[in-house]
Amino acid sequence: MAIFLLITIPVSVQVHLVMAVMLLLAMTVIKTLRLEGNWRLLLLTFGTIIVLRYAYWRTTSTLPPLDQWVDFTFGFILYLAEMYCIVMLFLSLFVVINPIPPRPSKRLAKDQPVPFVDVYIPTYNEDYDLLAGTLAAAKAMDYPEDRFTVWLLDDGGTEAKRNHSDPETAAVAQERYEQLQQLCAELDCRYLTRALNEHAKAGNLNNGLANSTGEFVAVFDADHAPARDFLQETVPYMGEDPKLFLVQTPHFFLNPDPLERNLRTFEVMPSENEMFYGVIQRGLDRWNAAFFCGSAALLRREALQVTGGFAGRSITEDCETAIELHSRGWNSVYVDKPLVAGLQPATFSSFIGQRTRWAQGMMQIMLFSFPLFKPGLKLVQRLAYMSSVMFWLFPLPRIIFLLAPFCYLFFDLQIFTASGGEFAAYTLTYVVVNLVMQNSLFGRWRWPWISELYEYIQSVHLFGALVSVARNPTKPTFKVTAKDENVDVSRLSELSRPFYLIFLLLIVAVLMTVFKIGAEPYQAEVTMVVGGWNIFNLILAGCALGVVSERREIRASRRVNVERRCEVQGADGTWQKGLITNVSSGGIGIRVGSTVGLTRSMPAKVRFSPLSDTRGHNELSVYIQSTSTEGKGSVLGCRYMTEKGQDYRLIADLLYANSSNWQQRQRSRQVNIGIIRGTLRFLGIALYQTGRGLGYFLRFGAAKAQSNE
Amino acid sequence: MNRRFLSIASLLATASLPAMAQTPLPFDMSPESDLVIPVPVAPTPTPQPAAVAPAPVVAPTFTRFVLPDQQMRLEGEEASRAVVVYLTEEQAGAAARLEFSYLNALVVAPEVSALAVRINGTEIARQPIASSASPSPISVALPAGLLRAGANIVDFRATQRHRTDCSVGSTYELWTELEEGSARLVFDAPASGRVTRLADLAAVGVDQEGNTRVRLLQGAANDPQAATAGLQLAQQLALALRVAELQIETTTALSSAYDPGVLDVVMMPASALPAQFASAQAQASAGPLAALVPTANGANVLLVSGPDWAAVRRAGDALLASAPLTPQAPRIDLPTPHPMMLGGQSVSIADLGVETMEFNGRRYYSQLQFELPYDFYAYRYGELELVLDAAYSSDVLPGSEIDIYTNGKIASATPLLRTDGGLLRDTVIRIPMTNLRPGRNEVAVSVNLQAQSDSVCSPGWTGQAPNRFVLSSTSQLRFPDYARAAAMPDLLVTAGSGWPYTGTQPSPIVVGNGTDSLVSAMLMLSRVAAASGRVLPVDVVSPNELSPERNALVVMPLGEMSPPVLSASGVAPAAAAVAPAGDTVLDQFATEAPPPIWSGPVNWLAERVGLEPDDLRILPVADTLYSAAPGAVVMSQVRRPEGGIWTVLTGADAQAMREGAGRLVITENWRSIAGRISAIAPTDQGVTVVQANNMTLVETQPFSLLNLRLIAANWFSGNILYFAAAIAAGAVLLMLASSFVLTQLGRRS
Repeated sequence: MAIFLLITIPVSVQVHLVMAVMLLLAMTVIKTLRLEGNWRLLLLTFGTIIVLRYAYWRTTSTLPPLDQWVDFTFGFILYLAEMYCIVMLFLSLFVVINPIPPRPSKRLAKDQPVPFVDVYIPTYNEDYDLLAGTLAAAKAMDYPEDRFTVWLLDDGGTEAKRNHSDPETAAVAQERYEQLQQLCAELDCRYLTRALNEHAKAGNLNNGLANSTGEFVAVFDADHAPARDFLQETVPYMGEDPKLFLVQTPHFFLNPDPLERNLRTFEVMPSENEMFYGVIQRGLDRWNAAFFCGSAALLRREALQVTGGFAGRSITEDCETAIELHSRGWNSVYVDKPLVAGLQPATFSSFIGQRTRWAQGMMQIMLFSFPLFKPGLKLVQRLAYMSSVMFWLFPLPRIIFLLAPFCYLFFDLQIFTASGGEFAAYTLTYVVVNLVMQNSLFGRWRWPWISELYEYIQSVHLFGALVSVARNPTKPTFKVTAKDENVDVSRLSELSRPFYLIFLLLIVAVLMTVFKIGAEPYQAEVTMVVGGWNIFNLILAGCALGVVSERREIRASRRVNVERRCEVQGADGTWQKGLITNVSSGGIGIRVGSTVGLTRSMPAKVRFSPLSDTRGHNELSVYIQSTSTEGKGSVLGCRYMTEKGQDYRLIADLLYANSSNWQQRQRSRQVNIGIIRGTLRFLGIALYQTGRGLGYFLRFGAAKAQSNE
Repeated sequence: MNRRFLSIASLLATASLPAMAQTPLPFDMSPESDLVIPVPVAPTPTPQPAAVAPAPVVAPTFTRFVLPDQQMRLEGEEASRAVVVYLTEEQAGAAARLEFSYLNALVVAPEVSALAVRINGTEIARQPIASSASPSPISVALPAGLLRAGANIVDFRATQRHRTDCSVGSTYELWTELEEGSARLVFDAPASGRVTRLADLAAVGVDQEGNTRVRLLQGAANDPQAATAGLQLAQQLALALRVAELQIETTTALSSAYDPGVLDVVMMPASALPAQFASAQAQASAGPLAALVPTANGANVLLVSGPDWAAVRRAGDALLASAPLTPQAPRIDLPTPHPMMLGGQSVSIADLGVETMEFNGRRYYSQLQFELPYDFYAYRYGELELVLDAAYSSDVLPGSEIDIYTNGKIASATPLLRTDGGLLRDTVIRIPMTNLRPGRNEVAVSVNLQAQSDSVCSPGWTGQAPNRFVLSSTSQLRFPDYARAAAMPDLLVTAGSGWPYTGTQPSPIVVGNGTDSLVSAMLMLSRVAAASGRVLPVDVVSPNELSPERNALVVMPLGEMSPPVLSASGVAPAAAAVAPAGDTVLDQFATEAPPPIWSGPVNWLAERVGLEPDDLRILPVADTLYSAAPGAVVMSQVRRPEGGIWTVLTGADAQAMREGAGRLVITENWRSIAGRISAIAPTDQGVTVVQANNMTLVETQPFSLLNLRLIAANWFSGNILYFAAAIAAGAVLLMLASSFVLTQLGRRS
């Protein structure tokens, strides 16, 4: 308590500055020496104090007077946005203050009973190849064969769809229905569909529950192929705690999201979701608040029955289900090991579509069952859920921060009453402290300024989506995110227009800044501060231009590096030894000693010993697309020529059998590059991407305008 | 009325401005060229008398000088200076005129500049300012009934505009000055300078130089009782005479004639009274007696007597009892109200004597005053607020600036960022309290107006410009709850408020031998009384009666001090003060050491951030003994480790001390007194101040958490590293607490 009294002492600006600089120095020392434990806590405490002092000062000294109501209104909106950020900072600080370290790998013990598991793969419109891969991978899981069933829950072949009034739609559904039934038969899976498409994914899963009886339920999205050890790694937890309803594992993606693809950061920078799965879920796990993410999870049927199956009120059924069960005293566990490999949206517009669903769904949860007052939850769980749900309000402050400088630059509103000196002493130290704290909490999983970039690119479109939920909470409906798209030509995203408009506006604001400094020297100090802020926005917006300028994707699917011995049979019929060096969902790369009998555009056969049980099947037909010399040998680029369902088992074996591959790949990217390097790097990226974005605009903008007409 | 001014003006112009005679004399005083219209316009009774030129001396007259300072200077576009003149009933009833002569800057444009005089709120004269070549004498007969017995406020107001220049900078070239000693009230017979009632003591007034002098006839100077009575009476006289600096001299003979600004004071027990007071002897033997004794030569003589010294001491109380210090009866140099402002209070500037004024110039300037308590302790962190109600015309441009000065130093500069609204309503300007002090504070509001039309500056525009700014007197000064504590030693506190020697319990005072020491003590104490408005009860004691636990005063030359007193004085013994040997003239270039390398950043910090290296000190440097310059008088304050606060006035010898004390009490010097040492040597321009490095906080208010928090804010603001350390310590505790809580909360890994 005394410390809070100390924090609110109204000392002079100079004192605050000196104190803040000294604490910052101490924080830097702790951070540079990578001190852990209580030192890390001390760093966060120092940061907290500076942030609290900023909040106190901001509240007591910087709001415009009430009678200047225009100033006050906009000033207060900005104030609320900042306070939201501070509240979020503290909430996330609380969540990740002490994340559970990665749990040791588990296996079912020999003498343990093996519970029966139903594996659900809900699908709506995913194509045959994708489903075949996922089903094959699910079937290949290391678990007694008679103790699990793989269910394909098809919402694309429901009776309603097959009897659709549009004959063409009906025909497509009917064809799909038959093909998938055939596939399931080949792969020894169960096909299930239903009469009507009620309650979207939740309804589909509930239909699965109604038609099966297994003690546990594993859910994989159609594009999430499980690793072989998924059930081994997760089922044992269920035995340890009878009140456990959920074992969640991370979503690992084989392909980059649009930002990573267009900014070419996929190979080097940690992915966006890694912050969530790498640290936030682990942090939530500490507070028994890790929640269901819709896929890659094992659930307990008994628990689901308590709430009548998967919740379907919001469009994020996963989180809603989890909060309901948590509030009824059930527990959850998070296993930080990638056990599924999935795809994420390839184009910017489907990425935005996916995020719109998440944001709107979280908003619905906030409106329907506000976590802070949700009965049954423990206090820590309430806070944890608040942080998860409130996070999705970020588009509001982000847009406010974008527009706030305009209030001053264009309309001369005084929305932040502080002198340049006060601004430097309070706001700058706050911003730097914020950076240091974020970096020390999330540095391994998120580089500096990348969060801001992600927030910005989403905010432009999510802002309206959030407003629409607020106006009509039940309106948003579940839209399946398309993930199998390809960008075969470079182009501008169809959602790019607002980004160029905002960029233009920011450029005008920069010109206005220059003009104002010249024309109004008496407030040059303030103008420079606001102008600097505007330039930060401009850098962000410039970088975003690169994100919406979709690059042509050379490969249809990402390759994963592996090392698997194999034999290749060329046209001459002889088998020669080779090494599979990389695998993707479309093909493989094989290194061979000589290319005798192996030429381009020729079919070939590959033979290897699978890690999983493939029922003796070990030959895969491929088509040699390319050959290239590499050192002494050559590398063949081959495409699969799948003939039957069994082939998918082999592909799945190559792709998914070894989940430690994926972890390795993630680890290699999870490096904290520090604030200074990160900032410089970001500036470099931003500069380059601004240029690329403008270039794309010149090349494709006109074409796009034409095609729109 | 116009005609009358015209005649004055033409008379002046022909008399003293032959060079200006060629120019047409458009002394048009029609309303549209009235530059300043005080709002609300008081119903001005038209002065009746038509005396327009210095009246020929026809009858015996009596003169009262008006100005408490040697001169009065009115600077800027709108300036106003007022003084208070106390009159006896006899004087108030007599026919009188106000005479003065003035000189002004050449650049003041007579057509659009005017000097007005108000007495008790009634304008009695207004005329163009046109006396740049030589002083112009003015004489204005006062309407009957205007003057009153007691306090009268004489207010000189100048409206001055530049002849050619429309810039803000040019307004600093505008001045009008009243000639030294020229401002006087001349009364017709039978008025005289005789003061007959104790309540009228302030009517003793000032002499031509603005001084008031007490000539003291005292029986036994070395008798502690007599000295005690004398010290008390000196303070009471300063208050009763309503002067800032009272000159005191001892004498043995009464004045031979009436002198303006002089009061003879006879202070002795009845038994010692000289023969001419025989008539009063009986009364004085019976009990305390304080009375003005009629004299044949017209000199004013105050008799303070009684059967013994104790009674003499009590007799002095009658001075203030009959004329208590009230806002209606202020000090003669402080006509405007200056109320005590405590935390959480606010006051409208109207209550501080500022009138709403419509202004068409480029630099509006207004001054106000208020008091702060002796334990005001918010000068490092606090901010007071000026809540501004003002309006401006569309001519005013953004970039115009409202500057606030506190005690002569710039405290805040607020640019007007938008001028499209035309109105500032409840606009808050935050003023750092950095230069505020216990006691009386002066705040100046200066508004620099940038106007579109000023950039064109057509001829005559300085005066013709339409009104462009109004500062409403409903604007308020708002004080936050500020920290209340005294950090001692600080002579500023004592000089401004008398603390810690106020209260009912007499403080011991040691006075050196001889009249010079006693007069020095009287000068000092009466100046403290004038500043604080109250009498400090003191008791003259011998040096060995001093106790280090008790607050005490010492007025004694260094040579006379006993070693324990000397060592406690904070001043080095006289012998230590050796003038530097050698030819310093030759050394002046050699001693310029190159600035240390860190001076650059240090200066930058000081200028841009307001951070002094001293603020970052962990252990303060010990306060060393101060070596006074030869002939200097030194005021020193020391907080004894035992708890007593000792204030010492000393000098090399008694005479130097007395002369120095005379310089020290001059208002300008007195208001510079601060720190642990304040010294002034005969050749010094101003007071040398040594700030205390080691200050002790003295609790002055009942304990409250709120006050403690504010005190902490001020203390930490001066001890920055301690604040950082406290925060860091708090952080470590918080960290340990949360670390503990974390082990209790949540899932174990």
